Amino acid sequence: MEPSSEEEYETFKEKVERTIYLDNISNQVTEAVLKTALDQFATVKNVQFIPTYFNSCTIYAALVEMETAKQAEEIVKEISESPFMISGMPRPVRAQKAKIEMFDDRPKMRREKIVCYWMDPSHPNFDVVKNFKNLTKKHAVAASFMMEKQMEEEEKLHNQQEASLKANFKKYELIDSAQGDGTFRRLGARYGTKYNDF
Amino acid sequence: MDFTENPSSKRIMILRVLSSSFCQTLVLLFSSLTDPSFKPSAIFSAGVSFLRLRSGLELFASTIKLVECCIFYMEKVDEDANLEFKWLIKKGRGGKNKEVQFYGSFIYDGVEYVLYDCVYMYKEGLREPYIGKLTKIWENADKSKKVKVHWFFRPEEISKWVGDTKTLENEILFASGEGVGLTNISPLEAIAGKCNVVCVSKDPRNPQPSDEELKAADFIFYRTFDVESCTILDNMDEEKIGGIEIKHIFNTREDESISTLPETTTTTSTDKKEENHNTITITTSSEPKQQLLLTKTLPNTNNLKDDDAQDKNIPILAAETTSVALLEKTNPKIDEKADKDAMEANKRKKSSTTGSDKLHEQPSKKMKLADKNPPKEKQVEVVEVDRDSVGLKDVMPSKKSKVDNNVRTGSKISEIGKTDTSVVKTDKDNLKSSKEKDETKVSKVSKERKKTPMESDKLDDRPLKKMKSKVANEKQKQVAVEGEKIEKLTDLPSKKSKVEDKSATNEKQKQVEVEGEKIEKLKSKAEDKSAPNEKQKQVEVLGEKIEKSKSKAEDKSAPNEKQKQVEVEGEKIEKSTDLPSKKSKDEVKSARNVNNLGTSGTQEEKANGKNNNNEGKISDELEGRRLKKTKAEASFKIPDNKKNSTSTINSNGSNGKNLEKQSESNESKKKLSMNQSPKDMYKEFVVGPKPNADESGWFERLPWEQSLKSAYDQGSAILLHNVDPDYTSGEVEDLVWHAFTENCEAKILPCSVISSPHCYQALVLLKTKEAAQRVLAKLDEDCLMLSNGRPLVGTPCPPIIPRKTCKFFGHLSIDRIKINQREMEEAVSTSHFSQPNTIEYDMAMEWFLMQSKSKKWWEMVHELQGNEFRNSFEEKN
Repeated sequence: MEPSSEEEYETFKEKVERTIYLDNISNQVTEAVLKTALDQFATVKNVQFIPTYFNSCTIYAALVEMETAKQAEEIVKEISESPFMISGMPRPVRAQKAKIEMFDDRPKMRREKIVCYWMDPSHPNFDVVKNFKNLTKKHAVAASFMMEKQMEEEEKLHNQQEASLKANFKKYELIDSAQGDGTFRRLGARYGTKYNDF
Repeated sequence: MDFTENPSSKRIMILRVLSSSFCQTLVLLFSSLTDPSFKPSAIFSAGVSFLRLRSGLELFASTIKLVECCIFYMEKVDEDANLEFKWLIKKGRGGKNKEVQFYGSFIYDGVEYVLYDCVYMYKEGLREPYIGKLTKIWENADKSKKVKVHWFFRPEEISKWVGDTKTLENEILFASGEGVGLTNISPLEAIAGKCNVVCVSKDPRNPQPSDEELKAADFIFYRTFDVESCTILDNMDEEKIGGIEIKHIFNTREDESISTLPETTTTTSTDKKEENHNTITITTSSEPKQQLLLTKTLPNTNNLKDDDAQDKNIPILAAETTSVALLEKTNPKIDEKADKDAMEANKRKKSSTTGSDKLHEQPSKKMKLADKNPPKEKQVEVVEVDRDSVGLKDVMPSKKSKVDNNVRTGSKISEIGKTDTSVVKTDKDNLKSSKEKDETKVSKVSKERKKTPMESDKLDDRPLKKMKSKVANEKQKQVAVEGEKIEKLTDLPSKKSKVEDKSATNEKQKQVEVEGEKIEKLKSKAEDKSAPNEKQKQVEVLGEKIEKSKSKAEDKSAPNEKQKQVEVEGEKIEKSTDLPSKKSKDEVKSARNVNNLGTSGTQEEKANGKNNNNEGKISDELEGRRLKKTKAEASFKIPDNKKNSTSTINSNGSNGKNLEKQSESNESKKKLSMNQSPKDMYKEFVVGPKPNADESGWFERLPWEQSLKSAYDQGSAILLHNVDPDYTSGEVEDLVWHAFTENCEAKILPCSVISSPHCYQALVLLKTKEAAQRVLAKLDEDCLMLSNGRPLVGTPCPPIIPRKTCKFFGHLSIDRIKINQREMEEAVSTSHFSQPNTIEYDMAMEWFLMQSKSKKWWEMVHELQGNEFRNSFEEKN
């Protein structure tokens, strides 16, 4: 016989306690990568990706279960303090403690039977409920709009950084080539300064 | 015979001789010592009694009439472990060392199972048992009893492959081909009951079933489902299907010959003694007709002669007329040592009583309900003597899950009831015999009215393995209530006529009930106070929440009468018209019905204005019906039903119309009944586990991503909002099933940091696009309130995207040193902390900034949304 649902739920809660929620990770990240990355801190027990289904919601996240809740806390702290890269730069991952709702396989909570009903259209609150439904839909749309916006922002930052990276790269390339093809030496001779090879 | 010489024999015999003015019954009871629940003290006392028995036997040999009682109550024996079992026909041996013994039939829990019978197989956690055909029965060397079961599939179980293929209402499909899902070997104890499956294949080799047989059938089949290719095959041409010869798959004819016999026995059974005598002669005589029966129905006697039938004892229930019924068990071994004539005679006698029980039991199983009527009537005459057999008879049909049958039995009994009120007694006896082991209470036959609920309650308390038992109980209860109904009915003959007209088109039990409930108001002045007990009991049994409790004294009789009317109606349906096809029910009819309901309802209100309380009860009743989930109801008026939107409208509409016809003085009452009917529709329902469909375990689900993809492509995926965060994916599936009668796959969407804390979502993949659209429309139109007090909202699934193909910003690389994709995927250790003196670090800081900004704005959005929700709720209150 399986453990009672209550026990099961307790075990599950403990598991949640020692789990880290990581987001801002790349979609290229695999379980092995995550495991190795966090194994530097402590032993990883389990890695579970939070699936992303929709275009509108491109948050990549994973749940990493550590051995103890304390370890998890420490890791969260460290990752929050200094930028931690996993399989890609320069966007750091973000870490926080996991919540129960983040698990899609959460066990049944002990509770009364689920009782539902179709609301009678003549019920005084029918309109209110209708409203509420509309509100829900509106919020869902709002959320996806927000998501879009965020993606735009990210893209902007991405492009900007890419540009600056390119510029930087170009600069260093230039310096490098100038150094390589003897331009430095010639210029030094020309201006009468002593040129030292770096 | 001497047990002391045979220490290995693990049996206890309790001989009980009951002597009364009516009859003498000798009851033997054996129970295996291995039975864990058997108490040592009992064994000891049994031993003592055995010694007494021996002397008693000698006495018996000389005097024939034995008047000695050894009474043992084998109470509180765990029913589960004690489900009676007995091997009957023996077949060959097989396996290594020949240690496996095959059998052709057996008795389990009082029901005889023969090879190739169809049975319900219980599986833990499943609401509906599987249906299978017994293709092998054997006992292993370790005494474990096994059956090989060839499965039938319900269309729901294979809905994925059934697709658009139309299936009949109670159609099941026979497994064919080879592979997983064709057969299983199960413990014999997993059998939950007999299932009447009729083959309606047009194949010339198949004996075509009669109309009655069809009506009595729990299920029909004519197609097979190939477990290899997962396809439905329309014909059964082969000589063998899945290794079974076709003749065993088609119907058998022997049923008929048996069903004609019972009259001979019932007519002779006017006196217990005589009956005994009769059956004894049956065992020995060669009277052809009865001989046939014998082989089937008197396994006990067979066993007495069958020396090597070595083990398990037959447990047969005998509900006795006097007060106590005991389990009867015989030990064939005794027979082996037939050194004592007396013992032999004893057993004969005993077995003959059990035999007679069987005689009744057997026909009741095999006969069509219609056939049953005449014999029963005869037995009414001899009710005092022969109650148990009547009882047994009724236990069996009541197991049938068909409402039709139920209604029919009801009507039959009530017909009898008119001719002879003593049937009330027999009805009660039915209850008793069905109790099987709680017999001690049964003594007060005449006053049991008040007791009935208690008894039935017990029935339910029994930790039965049997899935069916609950249904059976409910039916039995109904049967029990009938008696009273009939009495009442005769008191109120004038009102009957009204009902009759209405009921003409009314066939389904559900409808019957609704009518009944209206009519009940007419008569709500009747003063039978004990009735509400029964009603309440019933409601409780159905797992209801009883909300009423405020019923007034005058109203107390209402539920009872309701029930009564139900049966009465049922009867009339039977009587008044020879309605041809009971199954073809359309909504025109039902609408008309409801029309009638409406009028009668309001008329009745005129007559009697104080029925408000009934409302709650009615809906309770409706609720209960739903829980029962008998098929007949499935298409009518349950809010979570497929057709229900239409039928709801129908009933509402017609109700309304009727109301308009009423005079103005009824205005207030109009409102009342306006409320009533919709209330029924909008009643709360409990989301329990859904009757199992796809999860049979034989066919694994596709990976979620894959099914999501295909569901999205065909447009059958929807997104649910406002799901209670406590729900699990499975519960969402159950919810969808209960609310829309749709099977689906569901998954709770895990929250991420950015998902709203106010609104939890779940993805639901329905089977078809139409289903998805219907669900969405329904969710849109009506409000399905969840247990967290929020309405469920559905939207079409937003575009999905495979994980790997989508963009991720923020990871830069310089073209020339770009790592190729494959290396990337295989890379394992690519993580590091950024050092503060690099460009990377600066950029990482920018991302940090971005992350905090993002966090903030999501927080703001959620707060805003939270406020909006709160406001809307405040508005509400």
